[in-house]
Amino acid sequence: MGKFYPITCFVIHTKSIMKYIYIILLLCSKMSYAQFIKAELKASGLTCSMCNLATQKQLQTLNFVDSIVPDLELNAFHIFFKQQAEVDFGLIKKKVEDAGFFVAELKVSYKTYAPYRASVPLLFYDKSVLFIDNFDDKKETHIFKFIDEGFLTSKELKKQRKVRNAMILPSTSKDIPLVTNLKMYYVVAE
Amino acid sequence: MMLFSMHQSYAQELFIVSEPASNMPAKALSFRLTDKFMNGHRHSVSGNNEDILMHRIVPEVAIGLNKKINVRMSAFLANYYQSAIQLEGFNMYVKYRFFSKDDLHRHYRMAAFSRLSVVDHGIYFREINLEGDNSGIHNGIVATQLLHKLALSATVGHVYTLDNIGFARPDFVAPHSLNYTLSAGYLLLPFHYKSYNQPNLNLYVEMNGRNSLYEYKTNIYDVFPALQLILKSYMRIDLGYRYQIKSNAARNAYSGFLVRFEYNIFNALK
Repeated sequence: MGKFYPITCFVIHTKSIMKYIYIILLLCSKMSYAQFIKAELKASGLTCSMCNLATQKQLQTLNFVDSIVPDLELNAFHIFFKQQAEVDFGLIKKKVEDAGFFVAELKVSYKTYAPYRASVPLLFYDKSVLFIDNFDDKKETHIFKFIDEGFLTSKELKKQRKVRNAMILPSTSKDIPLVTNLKMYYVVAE
Repeated sequence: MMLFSMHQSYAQELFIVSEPASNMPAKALSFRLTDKFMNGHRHSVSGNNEDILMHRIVPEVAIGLNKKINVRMSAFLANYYQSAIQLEGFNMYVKYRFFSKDDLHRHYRMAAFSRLSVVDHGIYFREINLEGDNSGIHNGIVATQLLHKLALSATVGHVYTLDNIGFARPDFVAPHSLNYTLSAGYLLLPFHYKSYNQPNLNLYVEMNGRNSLYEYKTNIYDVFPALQLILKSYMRIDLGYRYQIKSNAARNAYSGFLVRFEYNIFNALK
């Protein structure tokens, strides 16, 4: 006697179509992990090498970080990402704060490879999306600066608030339903 | 003597006597060995005073539970009350950072702390010192301002003196007292940071005031100049001296030296 297998059936109706697209998108975006090459992080609140070392050691625990080159004079860290790894910018912020400091500036370098998913001004990757001001999708290499709270000094945050408030997705954008499911970061292309 | 122990985190605010409002990094472990030594006289129950070189050795372990909470545990070993150095008590210190305002090369932070000391020998002095002489509870707040190479910090707290184990608090020892510190730290070297292996040299001057409350009129004011060397960005050596500015209380010694070694392990806890 053969085993009895329950039959799984897929019912696709209008509501789940969005979900379906979302899953496809996630799968597609898996291919684009390697696109974040490195980050330049400036930390605030520190002035000594002991604090820099504590921060670097925290960042090194992130599984998507390949190597870190510090600039002790500027309290900056050049963070190089592993290929194929899933980069989580929220975790970078958390690690700096765990060391007892704050992110003063975060810039990431991004390179456009063949299969990527961008729908100007949005850039989808893994479980997050970058909402990009001044995005030129014809360029191959980009530098994005994060302008969300927690990624800037308070002074800089005030300055960037205007930019951030002006960034509103057109209500007709087909990506709006997708965005609601994702962690969205506001960034400015440089 | 020192009512406050101190802490690590940011070079010029790694105060020797007081603790900064900043915390050590989350999941970090810090080991510390301090020797406080001074010429003093031993006061015994039998009434025989003798002049001796007194040592108080304080091994400590500190843990960064998370980015806001630090816990420090210390033991006190000393020959203050008998001729051999022996274990005299324990101390637990918890600090919670509740405010941070950071900018490039500067920050302002505030924290609340609580300390419990348990000590098991006699009480012979009006001076109250939770770092080995008295059992008690110390609650307070600390504010620290870092301005590039200069760190300034102020602490204010209330000390409630308990009975020592096996020895009730005598009537001449105030149950309630006020304890405050003012600290300044300055980064002398290096001028420019190039690598984690560069040693840092910091200069500190700290002041500690202790005033008993209500009818007790014990007032003690000390100043502590100190030098600090930070090696490889995770080890630290402190050399300090305590000098009494003014006091109206009998105490173990009016001045003394401090030598300390500290070793930090970042990300020690998973």
